[in-house]
Amino acid sequence: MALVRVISSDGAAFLVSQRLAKRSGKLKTEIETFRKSSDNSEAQPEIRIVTIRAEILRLVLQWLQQHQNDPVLPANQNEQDGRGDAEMGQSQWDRDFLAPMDLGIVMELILAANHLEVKGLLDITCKLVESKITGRTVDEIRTAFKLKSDFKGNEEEQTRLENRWCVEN
Amino acid sequence: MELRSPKTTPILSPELWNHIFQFLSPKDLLSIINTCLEWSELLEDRKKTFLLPLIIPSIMQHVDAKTSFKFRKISKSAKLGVDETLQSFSNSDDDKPFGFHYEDSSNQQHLRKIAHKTNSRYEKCFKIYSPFLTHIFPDLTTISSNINPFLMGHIHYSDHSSMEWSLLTRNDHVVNILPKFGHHILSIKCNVIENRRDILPFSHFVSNLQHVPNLKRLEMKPYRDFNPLAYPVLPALPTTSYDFPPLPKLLLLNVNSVDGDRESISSFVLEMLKKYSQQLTAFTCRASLFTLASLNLEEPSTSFPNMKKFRLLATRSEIPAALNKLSNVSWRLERFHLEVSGSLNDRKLNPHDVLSKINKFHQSLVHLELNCQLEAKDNESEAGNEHNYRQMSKLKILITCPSNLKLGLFKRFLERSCLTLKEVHLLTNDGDFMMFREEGRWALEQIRSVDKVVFWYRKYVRREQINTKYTMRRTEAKTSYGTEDST
Repeated sequence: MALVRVISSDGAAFLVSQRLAKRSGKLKTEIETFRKSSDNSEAQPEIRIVTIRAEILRLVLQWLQQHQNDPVLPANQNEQDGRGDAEMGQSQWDRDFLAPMDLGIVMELILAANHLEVKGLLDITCKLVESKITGRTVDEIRTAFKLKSDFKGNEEEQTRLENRWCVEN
Repeated sequence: MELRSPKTTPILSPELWNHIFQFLSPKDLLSIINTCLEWSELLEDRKKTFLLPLIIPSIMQHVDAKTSFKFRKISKSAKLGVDETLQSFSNSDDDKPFGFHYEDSSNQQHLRKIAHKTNSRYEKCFKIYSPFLTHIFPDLTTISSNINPFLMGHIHYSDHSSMEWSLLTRNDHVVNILPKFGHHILSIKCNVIENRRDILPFSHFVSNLQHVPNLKRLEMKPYRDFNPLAYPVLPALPTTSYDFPPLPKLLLLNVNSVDGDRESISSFVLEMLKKYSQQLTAFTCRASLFTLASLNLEEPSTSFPNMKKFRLLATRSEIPAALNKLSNVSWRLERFHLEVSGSLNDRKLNPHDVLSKINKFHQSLVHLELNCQLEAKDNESEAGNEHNYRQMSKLKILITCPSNLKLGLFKRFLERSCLTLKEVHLLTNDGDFMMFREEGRWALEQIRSVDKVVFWYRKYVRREQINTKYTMRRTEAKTSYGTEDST
């Protein structure tokens, strides 16, 4: 079985099958680039991902492992409104996978899935964050993201007016 | 800044590190948490706060417009994240002539819908602007100019059904809006009334440009009075010099619907080029304008020294003169698009004429679109007619009609002079790409550097036109082909 070494930003190396790695658009391109530049077709590709640390990379690979036999999600799953429909791909395993995660980790996973081009994982993680926003007030969202309002003077009122102009009228 | 130092041991106290970290941007902080465990733990508490603006572009693809706008109320950085995402999608329309305009992922479509919906609200505001604005802002004079009514940074006016108004040429519509809020506008698509009677609309246009000092992209369309008594005779404009304001950020000008033979508007555009051609990096125009003797490309004021992207629209009869003019320029073009209109037979061009001119840009050209059909003349024996083209040393992407890949001269050009080519995109009519599979195979087999050949065609889903592609790939090092069909 052809393998590939994927190395996290903090130096941890993960040895995974190329078949699994290629379910990430980014890793697939990297493996193909390595193949072209390497004279030895048997050489094992080594890919360093400088923007993802080990803890997060392990989670992405774990998710890919679980979903390695899924059909590849078409880019345009729901043509009617043009939005990717994550629920179609979300299983009980996914829910258990995400359940213990802190919101900060989920946010790092979103950035990792986006960088590695893993659409299914990006969809379920975004959906999870969406569920923490939809139907909440601005103050509740601030609490969830540990944010304080940093608007000064009438800036908050300005933002409200701009939003009203666009969507709230 | 990207920190890549996994072996660094933080030797300062946590308090000092935290003090340093507070001056960094969200992107830098992300690099910090990816650097080592100690730093990641130091930032654990603040992680959610600084990661939020970074994940907003992804999240916005999964939520409705109302929720997206709710982010703007949370914090300044979240607001900036939303605004930048919306601007990137609303402006991408203007880059279409130079972007990979055939490709649109579903999520991008969703974002673009939000952007368009919001834009259409602006248009509505302007059409009925007095009552609407009075409703939103009871007294415009008291509203701070920091409030941005143009969240997309873009406005689009192309209402051909109404003769009554047109942005930038009708003072009464903009008198309250542009002077106050124009600095928020980065991109304008608009009509300029091509008036046969006087030069007033042009003067209004010029004087209103001073209210949009941050403008980056401008697309102008003439708006014609089609009164049969007035058409087509247009008196020449009196010679006037317009006082164009400095627009230091203007990079892209698109005048692709201005005909060179319409003297009133073309002479106006030429005046405009004298002011801005030095700074433009992208320009789209018709050959009839490009070939005007009064557009002297050797004249310093209209030489486009920074031109990177050039898109030329032409009819077949205009091509020789346009190509001839192109051979005198000293641009370092990165993208060149040639689009020939007319019926299929009318679009056929001699390949050597076209390729020899393009070869001029052999050191800089990355992206080439030849949306025209090439055909060797009868008296030019394909096999016997050898030309030595210079290596196109940076060319990565070619977009053209598949039938051109049947042509010996064009094939030899690709095989011998395009050794860095990565992608070949073939524009086909409705789904007839199956006819050209052999040409696709040829490109993958004969041009070693090519990774994929993409056939583009249009498909209708629920009466909506969707650009669809069929991709042929080289899989691994072997000469077999993977295919995928995606919409």
